[in-house]
Amino acid sequence: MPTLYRLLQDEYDPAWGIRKSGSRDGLEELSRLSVLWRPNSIYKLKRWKLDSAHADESIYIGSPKRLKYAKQRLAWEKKLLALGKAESSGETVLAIKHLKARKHLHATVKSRGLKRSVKYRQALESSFDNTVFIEAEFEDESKLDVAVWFTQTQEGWRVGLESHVSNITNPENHPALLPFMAVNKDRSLDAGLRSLCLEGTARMITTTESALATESASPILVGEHHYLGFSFGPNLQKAVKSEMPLTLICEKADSGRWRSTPFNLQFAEFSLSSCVLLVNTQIIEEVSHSTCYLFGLGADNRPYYSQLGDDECTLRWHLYLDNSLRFEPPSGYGAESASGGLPALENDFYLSSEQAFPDLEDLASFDQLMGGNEWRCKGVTAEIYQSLNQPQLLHLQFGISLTTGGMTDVALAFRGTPTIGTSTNFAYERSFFRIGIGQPHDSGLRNIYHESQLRMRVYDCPCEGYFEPDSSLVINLRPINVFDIPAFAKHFNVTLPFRLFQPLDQFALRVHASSGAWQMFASDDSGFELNPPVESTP
Amino acid sequence: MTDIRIISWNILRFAAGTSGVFSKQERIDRVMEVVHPKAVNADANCDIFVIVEPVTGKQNVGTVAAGSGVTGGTQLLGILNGRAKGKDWKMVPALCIYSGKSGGETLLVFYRDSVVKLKTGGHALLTNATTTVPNWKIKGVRESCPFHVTFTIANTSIDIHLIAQHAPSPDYGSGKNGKANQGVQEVGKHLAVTGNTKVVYLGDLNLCSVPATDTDCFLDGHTEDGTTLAGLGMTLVASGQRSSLKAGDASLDDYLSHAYDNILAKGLSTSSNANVINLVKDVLDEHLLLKPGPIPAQTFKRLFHCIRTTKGKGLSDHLPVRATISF
Repeated sequence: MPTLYRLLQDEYDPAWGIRKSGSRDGLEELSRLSVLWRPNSIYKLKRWKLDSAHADESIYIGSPKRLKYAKQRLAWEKKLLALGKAESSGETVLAIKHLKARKHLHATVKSRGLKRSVKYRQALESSFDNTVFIEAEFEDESKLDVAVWFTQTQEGWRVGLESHVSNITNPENHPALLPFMAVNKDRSLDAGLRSLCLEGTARMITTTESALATESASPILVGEHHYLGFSFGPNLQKAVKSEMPLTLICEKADSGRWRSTPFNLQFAEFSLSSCVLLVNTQIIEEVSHSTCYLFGLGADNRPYYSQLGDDECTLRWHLYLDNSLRFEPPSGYGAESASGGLPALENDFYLSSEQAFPDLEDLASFDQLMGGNEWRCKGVTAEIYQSLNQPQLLHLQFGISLTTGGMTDVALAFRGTPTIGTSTNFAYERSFFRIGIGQPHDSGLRNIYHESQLRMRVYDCPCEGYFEPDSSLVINLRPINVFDIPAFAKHFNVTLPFRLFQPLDQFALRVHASSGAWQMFASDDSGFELNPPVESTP
Repeated sequence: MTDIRIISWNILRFAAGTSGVFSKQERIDRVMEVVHPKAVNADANCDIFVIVEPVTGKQNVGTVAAGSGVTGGTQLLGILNGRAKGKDWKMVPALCIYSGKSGGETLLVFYRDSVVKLKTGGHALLTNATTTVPNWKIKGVRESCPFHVTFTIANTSIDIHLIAQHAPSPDYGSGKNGKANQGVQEVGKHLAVTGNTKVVYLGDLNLCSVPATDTDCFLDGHTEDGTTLAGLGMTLVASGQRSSLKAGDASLDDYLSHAYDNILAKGLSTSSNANVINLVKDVLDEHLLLKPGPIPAQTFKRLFHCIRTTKGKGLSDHLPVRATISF
């Protein structure tokens, strides 16, 4: 029993060739198409029916010069996948008919006025053709319906091929399905992949005709794609709202990248729309390793992503930002190599990066995530957060427990320059803020923690500090350089010892941001101490 | 008699943010599985959970901890409270135990309020300095202050004194690990230990409790480590099990380093279930279940770094230790 490739090599008349070139070279291209490359014996054809239509030279009705605009295919597909809705595609239908084939010419045309390109499409019909039609069945009973011919593109003459292969009933050793084969799925250390339940039979569909999704059918995309029905574990599946069957789709068989049809997630306290599941697989040391990620648009209209864990995990959603806005450990970083470790490097990144992070926008827009307005209204924190110049959103993270559907915690990070209560000698610089909330939606268990890292110049001395978590308007600061402390204290008429060795390092100036009242604490390892602390006099 | 189940874990530079244990679902899940599993209606694995080495900003020692370690603690408490049987988890107010050139450090103590209750004002730092600002001065250098928390066992009037410490860094060889030894010895002499009848002393003590006769622990200082641990007037309930993880020199047969994380107690009736929670072995076993057979060196490295911190991956350079102590 031959493979399809062998069959075509045997049956394709050399005389047809490309424009009567008499060469079979074009057939080599076929070997890269996944319906044909599968060398495994189980993909040999069990039954086939072969027909052909040919002429001395193809005669096309239509001219490339008169191409009409059809639509931007990629944009349409993106829309189809992201929103689940699309206007009628208007794409032409390939009619596989004996002695007559409708063909498609593709062209990429760059606009002179706009820096973009669009794909044009024209259906050309030939009544006399050099097309081979095959209806066949593989040994695993997968069906094959294929037409092979050559079309003219801007890159020259290319193999055109239209086929449908449905029901990959035996996915063993099928490279596209590698991550999902039982043996690899079970071997994966990725709990998210193991939590997926695969449903139905995998299909591979190559088509020039797209189809919109319905409640019972997944969308069919133009080109060659693999389709695999799935559901999440029961806990997560309860939150899923979808207008179509959940289906994973893979465009390139060997890419290891699958993307799901869109769905919404409705949790107890937060919902996400236009979600997709991404499965990325690599082969490392002959073992398949997969990671699964969920992406979705939050109810606050911001994009979020989370690694998918097992069905009892707490999903950890992160605000999705461009790569350049994400902190990554520097190359060569070792666990013990940097003083202060990664947390210090991360905060420095957020404070120092000159890139423009998204505007923080209205603080109230975070209330739903934060479980209400307490985080910004309780105490006087609102005075600080609302006083920020150039406030920028750095990161947002929250957990959703799949066992309860409830939100467990939130961490919101932003930066800006405070303006509250500054005087000429106290100049704020860009500062970092993070609010951590445990159980935001459970008032009985809610904990709110305000973290800040202030940078400022006091009497022109570079200082760092924080708003005290319990008192909000009290700034606790110190010179960045410990050797500046004695000179710094002089501005407050306090004399402190200067030492090159064992410099005074336990120092704090507590300043009330609005009244300016202050206290100074200082001590060192040699036993020196300001006791009691020096205070400003009214 | 009440059983108190305790876990202590040095989670290297524990903090909120995008680069540590909160960076990925799987990392925080691994931490949480140690403390309170996620399965529906699962019971907590312990009643007191201590995290050693959370991060703070630069601040004065003894003041209310301010920084990303406490934010992370707030988040972790939220996840604990989110467990079906986790509503009774609480966190002891954190204090800054050390502050230096590159930032500060605190200790986070989580406890189940239905088992032990925090005494009013029952959290303070131990100090061996004359200044009012706490200082744990060892060999003339400021070190992390031990954290002293006083609990009352629920429905009793029995107080237990928990002392958690991140002891001075080890200096084996010519230093004979003198800093860590002195740092720990001074805890044993402190009134918080000598003046109380029921004490639990734990943390990353940086003293190896593996007998010095062990050929893997031949460096100068190990004998002193054992002597110090034996001379504290407390029972070493989690002892002799290696809890710190090797780095680049780790291999499948040899990835554990010193037994630095210890739990001691006095005034106890009994102790049980005292051991290291070997998360590396768990990951290796999980892999073997999925793929039986020899584990190649490269595969080991990848699995090892699910736990061992390196280049932004993993959880820590220590494993958690646990013990059940009956008072």
